[in-house]
Amino acid sequence: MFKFKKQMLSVGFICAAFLLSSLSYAADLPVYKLGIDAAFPPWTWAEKGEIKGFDWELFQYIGQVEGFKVEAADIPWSAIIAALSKGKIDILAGGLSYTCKRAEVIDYALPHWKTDYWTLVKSTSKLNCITAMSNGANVGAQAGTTGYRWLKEELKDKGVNINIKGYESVELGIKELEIGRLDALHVDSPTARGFIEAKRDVRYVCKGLHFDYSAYAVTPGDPHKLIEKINAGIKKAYESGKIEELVRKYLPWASVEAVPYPVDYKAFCTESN
Amino acid sequence: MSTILEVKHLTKKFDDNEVLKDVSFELKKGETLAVIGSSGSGKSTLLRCLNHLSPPDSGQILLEGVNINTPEIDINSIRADMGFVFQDFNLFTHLNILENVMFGPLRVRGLSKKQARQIAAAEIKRVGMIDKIDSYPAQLSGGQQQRISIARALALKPKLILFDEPTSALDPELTGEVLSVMTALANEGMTAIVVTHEMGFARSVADKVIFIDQGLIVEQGEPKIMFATPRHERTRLFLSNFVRLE
Amino acid sequence: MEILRILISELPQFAKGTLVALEVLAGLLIVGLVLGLAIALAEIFGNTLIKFLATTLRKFLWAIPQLVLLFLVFYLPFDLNRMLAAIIALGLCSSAFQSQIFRGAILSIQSGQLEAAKAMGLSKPKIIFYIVIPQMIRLSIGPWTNEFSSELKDTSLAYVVGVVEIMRNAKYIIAYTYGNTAAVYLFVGILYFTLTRIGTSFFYRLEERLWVPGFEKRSG
Repeated sequence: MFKFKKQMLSVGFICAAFLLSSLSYAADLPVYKLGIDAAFPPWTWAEKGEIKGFDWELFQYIGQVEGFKVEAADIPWSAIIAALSKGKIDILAGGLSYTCKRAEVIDYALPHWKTDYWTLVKSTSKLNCITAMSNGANVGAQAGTTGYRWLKEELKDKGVNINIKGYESVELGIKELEIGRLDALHVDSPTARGFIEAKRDVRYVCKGLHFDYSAYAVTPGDPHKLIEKINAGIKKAYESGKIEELVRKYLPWASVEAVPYPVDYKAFCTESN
Repeated sequence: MSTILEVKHLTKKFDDNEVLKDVSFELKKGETLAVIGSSGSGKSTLLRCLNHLSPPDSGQILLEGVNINTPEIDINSIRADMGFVFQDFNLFTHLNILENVMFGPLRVRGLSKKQARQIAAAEIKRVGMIDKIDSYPAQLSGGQQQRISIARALALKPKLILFDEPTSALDPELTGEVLSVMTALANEGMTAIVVTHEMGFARSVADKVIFIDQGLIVEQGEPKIMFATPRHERTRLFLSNFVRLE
Repeated sequence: MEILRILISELPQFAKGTLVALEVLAGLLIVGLVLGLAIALAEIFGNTLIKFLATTLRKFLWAIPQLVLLFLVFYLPFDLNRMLAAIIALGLCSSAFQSQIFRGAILSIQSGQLEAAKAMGLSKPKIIFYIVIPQMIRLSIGPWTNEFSSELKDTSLAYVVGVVEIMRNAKYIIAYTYGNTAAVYLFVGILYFTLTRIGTSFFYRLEERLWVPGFEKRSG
């Protein structure tokens, strides 16, 4: 870069001055690696080479008001938390729900979304909310999600007779539901809505049995002191109406709530354990 | 004529098997030495000891007066000065005839491509194979391949050439062309040691014959005298086999 | 059909993904070639210690699944570009296979030719360079073409460490259309088939060009 600058100086002072000023402008803003799973609508996804989604756009806004830039790093979900905890990325954004266990290896900002869980069955199924998750029913959920944990801890461990099947992706679970190998699939509502709107052969039988918080997370120890900036940025996004705009655009069925939610994670975890 | 090679008390063991027991002889410049003996007598091992393809255990090998059987010697430069012709030719299969013969001047002697090509062409001509210059080894008969392998050895401009049973792998009707090339070389004054079963060649072309049996030189001398009046019983027995065949 | 329209609109992304896959492929084949050749030469021409080390390394790399090596390299404690991580991990795996190809080829060179070169006064490195390698190349193009097509397919594993190649693009479409798995994977299958055919026919032609009488031809 230095050599490049020197060459420019020889071309002409004005050119050099222009280049230097543009360089210093770019250098002012720190750039962080924002880890996303670009196959996770409506939060973050890639379409025709462009990244889209609620979390992606919200984070662009946060960066803008808090004075930093982000470059997206697409990492499949299965590797993304490890990538954050090892510092391969600086921030994780995109439908990440808060769990006390994950909080042991990564640091969370305050939640900016509340996701409830739905239970889906095949369109022609006669099951209802209760029979879909009892009487030895085969119930699927994406492995490692809050939904999976809820099925295990709140139903199976408490004596409800179900067989839980974990899937690497929701798509696989939907497929199993459609061909009748599963009785029900327990999944977060934005994803469930996506599949219903895409006219897949499924319908919901329960809504809102439990919910979890979505929040952004950073490398453990928060080396770049990002959590405060993110919290402040979310607050500004709510106050300025940016949240409302994004909800209308990406989650039109949802209502707008005051965010960030003032959750005391410490208390939250002692309660739930 | 000056002595080019002098071998003194050479021994070689493979495990407990003494293949060469105290072998000594000398060779003058321009001489052709035939080494004869039954299979397993140690005659091929003797040849391979001379250029350290099988390093000898003890003894001296004096090449132009310099002992080359010491660790200090650069064996590669010695090998380049001693051409070696193998029983089964061992031409480089990925190179054509010209490239095979150019190989030594180019890669061992470090000559330019142009010089190497000139030398190679001359040597190929010498063995009468100039029309096959673009062929590959697999396209030649055994006799032709052996002639090229002689040309390859000559292209290094060696001080002497070692022939290790050069006609043994050939069909009988192909031995003639190789032997006549070797005879021509001998007549031109090339120094050579030839391990062979061709008694006719040994008798009529060689200046000197060594008969080896069980790792020992039993008898050496002028071929005409040795073939006519062998002094040792073992030599007589060995030669009588061939006389009957011929 | 809706999905056809989507696939067509995503063609530029698939083209980019294909380029990325080919970059990973070229990189991993080079890593595998250099290391594989080193292992093969060490196993054949090395002294006892070098032989032992090379064999141990080969067996180790041979035994580890590619996915494991991918994550292992990716999570090394320094900042490694994801593409580079994939190239190194898959290249290490490939080196074990390539070393066996080269080893087999070298061992099938007639030992008499090596002895002839030695008898001419050629040093070991020169023998390897002028006799062993040229013959080895001709003898290994056939099996190496197999390794090429198998590694082309294995580039589809690189997405797990975040390399946006062909598979990753397929997953994007499946995610945002909430379905179409069969159609998308069929398309991807055809894409890999086409790439493999182009690649192998290139190597067949190369083998044809390098062929000299006396060498067996494997393709055709």
